[in-house]
Amino acid sequence: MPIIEVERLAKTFRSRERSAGLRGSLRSFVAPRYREREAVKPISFSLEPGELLAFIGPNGAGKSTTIKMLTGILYPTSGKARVLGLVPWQQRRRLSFRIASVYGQKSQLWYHLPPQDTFDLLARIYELDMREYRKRRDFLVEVFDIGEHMRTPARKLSLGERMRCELAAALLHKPSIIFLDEPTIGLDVIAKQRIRDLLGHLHAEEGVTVFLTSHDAGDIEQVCRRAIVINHGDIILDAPVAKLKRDYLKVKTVDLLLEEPAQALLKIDSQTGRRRLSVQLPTSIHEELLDTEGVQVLKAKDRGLKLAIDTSRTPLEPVIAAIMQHSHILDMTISDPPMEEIIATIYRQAGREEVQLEQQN
Amino acid sequence: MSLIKNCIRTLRFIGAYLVANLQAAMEYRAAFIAQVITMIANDSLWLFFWWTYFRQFPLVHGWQSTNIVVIWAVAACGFGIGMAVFGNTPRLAALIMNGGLDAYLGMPRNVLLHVCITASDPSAWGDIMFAIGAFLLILRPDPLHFALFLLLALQAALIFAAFLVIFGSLAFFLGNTEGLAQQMLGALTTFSTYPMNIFTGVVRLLLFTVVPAGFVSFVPLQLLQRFSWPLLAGMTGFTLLFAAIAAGIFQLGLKRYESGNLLGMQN
Amino acid sequence: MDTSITRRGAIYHARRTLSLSLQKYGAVVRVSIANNLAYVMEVFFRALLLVVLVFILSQLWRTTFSARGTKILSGFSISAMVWYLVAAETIAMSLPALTRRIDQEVRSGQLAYLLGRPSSYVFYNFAQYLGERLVRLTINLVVGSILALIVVGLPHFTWMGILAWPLVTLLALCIDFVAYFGIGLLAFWTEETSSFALIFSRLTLVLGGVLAPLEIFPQPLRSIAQALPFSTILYGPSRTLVHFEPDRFVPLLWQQLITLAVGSLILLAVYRVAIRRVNINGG
Repeated sequence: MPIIEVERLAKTFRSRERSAGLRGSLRSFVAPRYREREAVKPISFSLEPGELLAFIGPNGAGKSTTIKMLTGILYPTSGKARVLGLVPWQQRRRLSFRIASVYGQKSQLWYHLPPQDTFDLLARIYELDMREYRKRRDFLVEVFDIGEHMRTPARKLSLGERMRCELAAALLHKPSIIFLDEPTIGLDVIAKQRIRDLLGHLHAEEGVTVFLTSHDAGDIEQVCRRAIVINHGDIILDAPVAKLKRDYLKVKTVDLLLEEPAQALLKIDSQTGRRRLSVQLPTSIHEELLDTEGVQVLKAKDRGLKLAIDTSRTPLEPVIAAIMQHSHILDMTISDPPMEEIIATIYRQAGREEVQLEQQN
Repeated sequence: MSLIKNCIRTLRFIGAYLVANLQAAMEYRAAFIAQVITMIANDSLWLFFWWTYFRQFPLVHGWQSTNIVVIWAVAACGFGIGMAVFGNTPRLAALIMNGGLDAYLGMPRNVLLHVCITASDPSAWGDIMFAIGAFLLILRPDPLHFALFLLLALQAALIFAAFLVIFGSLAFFLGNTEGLAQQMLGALTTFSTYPMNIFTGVVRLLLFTVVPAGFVSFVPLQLLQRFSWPLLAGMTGFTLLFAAIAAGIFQLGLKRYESGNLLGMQN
Repeated sequence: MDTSITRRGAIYHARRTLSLSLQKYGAVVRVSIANNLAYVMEVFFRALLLVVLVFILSQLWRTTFSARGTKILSGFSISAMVWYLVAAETIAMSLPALTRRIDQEVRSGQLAYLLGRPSSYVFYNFAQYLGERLVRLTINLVVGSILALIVVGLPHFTWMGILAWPLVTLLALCIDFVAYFGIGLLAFWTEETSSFALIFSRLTLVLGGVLAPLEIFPQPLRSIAQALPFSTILYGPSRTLVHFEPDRFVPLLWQQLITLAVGSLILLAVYRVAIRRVNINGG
């Protein structure tokens, strides 16, 4: 029995067109023209209890609109949806007892008060039985390891500590589904990892369904099992994260600051006219030009070198080791491709698949 | 008796927020105390001025110099309770404009009530202390009259809150009405602190309807001087009606908000 | 060395510096006025409150006057009372948020940056304050005057009163500036300064006679209030306009100048201590 069922859910915003100038204002007052914006085209999907879903897409893709409809804040233009068997925009209050929302950029904790006080307040808001609440609170404090922060005013906590308290606060009333919006934004690597581990732990212990929105590929890779990619109000991919990883997340961007000018490591490929990394891999005797699709030079300026390395074809370490032979590496950053690029790749892939299909026919 | 249980739940809900707000204010103890003392001093100065004035120039026959004290006490107490309990009402328009209502929509409580009680104005406690102090010290009432005073102040508080809700909710339809709401509150407060005798005709009508200063201080003054059940019923009736109107306007606007088609609200 | 040429050069230089400074501050005042005109809505709403007050108080006095059956109360006719109120509220309601701005600049550490500017920090602020205040004053004056005309008709001002009014008003604005600026500097030592500003403004309103001339007060309160510096801000200028009495004019000027001088000395002392604090603590 799916916990979330979405059937051809759509949302079109209608706003009055505002023209500039006095005549324009008068005109728009007397004979208003409406501008329609299709934020969410009819989309359909369903979620089983206990699933870990990544809901991703670029800004303006319709993510927040969809979530608002699922949590009952916005009502749709057409289509149906059921969350925990309830219609969100009609039975919002009943639903809110059983779901939770956490926003990475907005805090539920009172700024000047210690989390302890916010927790007590939430207990009252959700009408929890006091004894049950205390047990639940102590359990969450232990799991999230926030015991020493409970009595510190929230404004004095670091972002990572605050995020853990936020999560704990959201889970006080034992929600069945938790909607997370950018929960690891602004956190350092270690704090991010902690949050991801906690989410995994929680899912294992309580089977809570997770609906995660994030621009961080690491969040998606480590926490979620399934991914829905939405763009321009349309679902363009609904697949297991493993597939996403396999097809789109294998390229790592490596940003290097070398001691020597980067040009020394590059050679112009006479065939394509492009610059290519030219180093001696430990596995070969000669220098060799590295495969373009394996290692792509994105940028080379002075001592800065930016590479895109396809880790499914060329592992990172040998390449970096080879570079180190030629020059000291002063600084290095390894990052996942940004969401926009993943989307673009998905489109390209989808386009290519379409062309292939056409060719087959 | 689910109505009684509901009332208790609601009161506990309001109480929880009152406590949280006080705790937050206490975090800056010095500033809190300074604000309270300032407000008490502020109110006292004004009252002193008007008391002097009315001692010199009694308004009409039978005007007691303590009348102005009663008017001020009820108005100040009502305002204080309104701003202490429903301290977030002045920010309603801003919340509507910047999408802040979303957070409340996701919560399992009545949205309007929840929005109103989220914040509290610390200086309002000064108004309350001043009002009770002035009433007790200058009028020396018996316990029954004091209880009546508190009841009337509570109703005045509801009127203040409902008034702000109405003007804040206009933001659903007209855009940013924050400035308007503030000024209208100033008008209501000002009119409430003057004796009704000086107003006539259309103005009086306005002061019992759109800007209900008459119900904030004048009717309570009558009730405290010469109590009558019908008058109390009338006052309570108006208070409840006014609050209902405010809630109704808010609900209408909320429907618009939920459609996402508010002025310039889409992301 | 030809001393006459150097002296002339020196005078020329001094005059140029003065004119440059004036130009500079003039530009600041102009910018401030332009900025404030953008806040028309807010000022309009503020004027609404003025309308309410004038209306209420004129009603009050009408009732009082008729209850007493007189035309003159404490030496003021009802027309004079209303025009007094308009004059006093014109000044009282034109107060910009000076203390809050100074408080913020202190707390944000912007003070350190502004101290580096060539123009002295105080004068820069004064120019800004004056610009804001004058705009609000003018709007209040226009709105208030229209209202007063409707309610009680033409005023009975004397020429001397009209000529004297700008001078004493300007002095009043300076006194206000000194006071609120000083309170703002307290941000170096206290958590919040708005309470002090509020108390000061209330004292000014009540003891400075905003709603009614100080003649309302019985003795000995009347004399005390008239002696206090608050009366120089509202009561002094308004009474000068409405009820000019030559033998009160010069004492008022003296009172204002002394208040201004004392206030400025206190302000400069506080300012110096504050600067030292910035230098030691680095903001």
